[in-house]
Amino acid sequence: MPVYDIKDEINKLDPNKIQIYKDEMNRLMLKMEGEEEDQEIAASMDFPLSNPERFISILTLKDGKKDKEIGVIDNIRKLDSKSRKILKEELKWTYYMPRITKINYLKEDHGIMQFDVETDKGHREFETRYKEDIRRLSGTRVIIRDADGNRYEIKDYTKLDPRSISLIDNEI
Amino acid sequence: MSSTKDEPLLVGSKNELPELVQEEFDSILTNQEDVKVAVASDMDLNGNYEDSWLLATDKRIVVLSGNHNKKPELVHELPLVDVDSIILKNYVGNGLLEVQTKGKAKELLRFSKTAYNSSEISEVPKVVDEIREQNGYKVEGSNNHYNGHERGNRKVRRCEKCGNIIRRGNLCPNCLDKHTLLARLFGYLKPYWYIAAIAFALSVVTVGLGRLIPPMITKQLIDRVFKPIEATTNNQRLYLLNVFVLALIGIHIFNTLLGTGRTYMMRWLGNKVIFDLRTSAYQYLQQLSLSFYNKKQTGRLISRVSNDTGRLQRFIVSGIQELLMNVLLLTGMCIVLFVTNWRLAALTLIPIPVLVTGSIIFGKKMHRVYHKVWRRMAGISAILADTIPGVRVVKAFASEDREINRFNTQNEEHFSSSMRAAKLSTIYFPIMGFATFAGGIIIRWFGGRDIITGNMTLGELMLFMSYMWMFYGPIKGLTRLNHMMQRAAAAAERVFEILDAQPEVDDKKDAIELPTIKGDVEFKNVVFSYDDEKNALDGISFKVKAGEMVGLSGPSGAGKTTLINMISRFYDAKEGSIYIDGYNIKDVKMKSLRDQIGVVLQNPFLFRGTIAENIAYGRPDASIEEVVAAAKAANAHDFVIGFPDGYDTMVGERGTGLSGGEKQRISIARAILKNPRILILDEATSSVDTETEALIQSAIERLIEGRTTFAIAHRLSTLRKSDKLIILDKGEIVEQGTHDELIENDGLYKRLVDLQSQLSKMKAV
Repeated sequence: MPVYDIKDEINKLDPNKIQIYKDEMNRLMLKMEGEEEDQEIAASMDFPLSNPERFISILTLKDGKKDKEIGVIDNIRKLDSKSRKILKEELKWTYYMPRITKINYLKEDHGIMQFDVETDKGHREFETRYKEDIRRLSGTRVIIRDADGNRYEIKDYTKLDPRSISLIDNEI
Repeated sequence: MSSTKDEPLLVGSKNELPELVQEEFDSILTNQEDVKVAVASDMDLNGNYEDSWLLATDKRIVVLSGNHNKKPELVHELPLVDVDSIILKNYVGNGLLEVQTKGKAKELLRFSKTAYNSSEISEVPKVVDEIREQNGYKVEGSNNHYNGHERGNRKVRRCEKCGNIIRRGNLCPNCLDKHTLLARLFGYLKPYWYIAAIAFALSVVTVGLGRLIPPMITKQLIDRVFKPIEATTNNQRLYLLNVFVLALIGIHIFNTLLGTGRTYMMRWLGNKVIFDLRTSAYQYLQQLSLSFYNKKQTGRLISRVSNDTGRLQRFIVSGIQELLMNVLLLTGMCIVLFVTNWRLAALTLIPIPVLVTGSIIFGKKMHRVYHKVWRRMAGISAILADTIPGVRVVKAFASEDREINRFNTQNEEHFSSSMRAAKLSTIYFPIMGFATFAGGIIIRWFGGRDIITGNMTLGELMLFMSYMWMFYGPIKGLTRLNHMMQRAAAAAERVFEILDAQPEVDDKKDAIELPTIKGDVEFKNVVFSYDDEKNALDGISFKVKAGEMVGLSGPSGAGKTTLINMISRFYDAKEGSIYIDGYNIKDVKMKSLRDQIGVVLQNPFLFRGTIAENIAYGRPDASIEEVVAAAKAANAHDFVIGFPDGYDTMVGERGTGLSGGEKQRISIARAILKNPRILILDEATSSVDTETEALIQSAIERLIEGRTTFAIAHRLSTLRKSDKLIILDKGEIVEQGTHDELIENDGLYKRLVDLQSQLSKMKAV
């Protein structure tokens, strides 16, 4: 009797049999070998923080909303280069996370933290509501979620300038 | 958005845009155009943080982008005739308005979540659709929301005055005047003002007697007794010595007595105020409706009643006391010194600014450093709180080493931050010591010269010296004051927030007692929402006759638990009404309503106390006989008497020591004893094994006899006997009727039943 493998639960899409592209209407489309029609899809990272390149869920759309999972792409690198570029561009927007390069100012007031930072996308001021909004991942990586739900990332806070380090160090 | 044709559809107004942008728009638009919507974004299309603006008139859409104070650039100008539809896409951290024109898509405006939350971007597709409809263009429902990862939107409430985030309650911490808070806190002192007045008077006396007078007596001793003066004989000097020493002793005893009385009074006062505050906070917590608890973590609420009130107590007892004493002492000393020798007094005060600024700077710095130490310590506690109770999981997964490493990392970080604090304080104290020392040197040198020239006596110098050493403490205390006041104000704020919260569900003023009911229940078009965004119940209507059993089923999240919570009036319906025996439940007193409803929950909660007390929770006056009878009916009796302490067995906060099925049967006994007309069973048998389920099931059957019963169950077989089944999905009733009718109907219920019988077959194999 064959042993049941829990991995069989995952429907992995064969990277050699799929193509992802954008049509004229700027829709993300999936072409699958064996399927007559291409379909509009949504893509999202299953591990946007810890492993953004692996396990990308591909979902059908229903009334503009994500509906059912068609399958997952195990590793984005295994896609053909065109599809990979398109998908990467899409994922950049589905989980948008500018990188903080400098902290100009950080103040805590009644548990609300006010940030004034420089990011790779320009200058930004924002606030966080809860202590948990500042998450330390894998030692020196810091992920911040502001009060409106925007994400920011500090790749390695120990590599910032000394002032920024001392500002953030007190809060993590 | 209603579309009366004449009304302008202005959503965000153009006048709110910066002047340069308005000018630029004006140069593009013609006079005949009517601006319908204007929104601002904080991103350009490439996701950089730049400003962008979108403006839609009745003729076209214009998008500008640019940086502050510069002439903005034109990004898009699109005639509305060409627009097929506008799509709003929401992702994590950003979103996009996209327009489809002539079979092609164009990116119009990208925005961060902050811009999305604070402007009317979400309304743009709707507004544009309406304009196009008015113009007679073809509209094909472009209001297409594409939702990204985030579930719903995190709505942020901001203060109307300053725009800061309001995290909890209705108060903006920024705009909240700390002094108002403290004034309100002192309001609690009012009933005991005379005690406060006496204590204050005693403070004045004790400071004078205890701290100011003794050095003055010492001065007299030196000048008139120790130093031989020609005019006095030795006998006179001996007499004076006795008088002064006796005075010192007398003052000390008297002062100690007064001081003891004063301290006692202040403590009584502090304790009393906090007692009052805590009592009213707790009373309020009990009265607040469940929706208040849904929004807060119960842990935080507990901490407010216990910790925050405690912090206020410390402020009232020692804070205010210290403040009064310090101010009095400093003024007293200054007066005495200046009267004695104003020149030297002025010189002596030179190091004081150093002391003050030093204390303030150090205090701030220290606060920051200790904040970090505290954060690190919280990290350690978090690990402990996680892994010690979860030690079985840790061992089961053989991850002891990993946990030890995790702990060590945290512990090392705590050590290094603690050492920084240690370094700071080891530097600080010598510096402050030097400032004090400098004061002493000034007194010795200038004072010494005055003694040589005969302008000052030795006793006066000694007086200066001893006061000098007394300056340091009060000043340090006063510099800490601001910090202490802030903490107290923050604590007061949190406590007052509870007192200020309005129970959302409350008895009407003219509410009547609900008489003993038969148990007819009717829902009339009931709508309810937890967050005002999505309706948890969406137009529920049904009728149940007294004594009937109603089974509720449907997928999770369908609104079953919400529905039964509405019967007990844990929440009030947004629309529609609920009637019991023809009484609208909003018109009757809540206690009289809930007294007649019995509830058995999926995870029964047992309070700290004996089993008997827990069974009698709904009716504390029940006799022992009734308690045992209820336990028997609930099939609980047999296991209860198996305990050495029987019904007197103590059960912990979460009923430690009892199995899930045992706790469940106790809670059923509780419901039986209450003898309610309406009974609510929320998944009462879902968390127990089959044998226990059978026991509970038979207990329940005894319980439901003759009562109107609402039962939620996933296992549909338990609902088979229901007089009526109501199947919910997404907040709406999709089917209702008896088991046979619904099977006939071949709908959702049939599908669920089939699925479950398949499952049980699989299990049987």
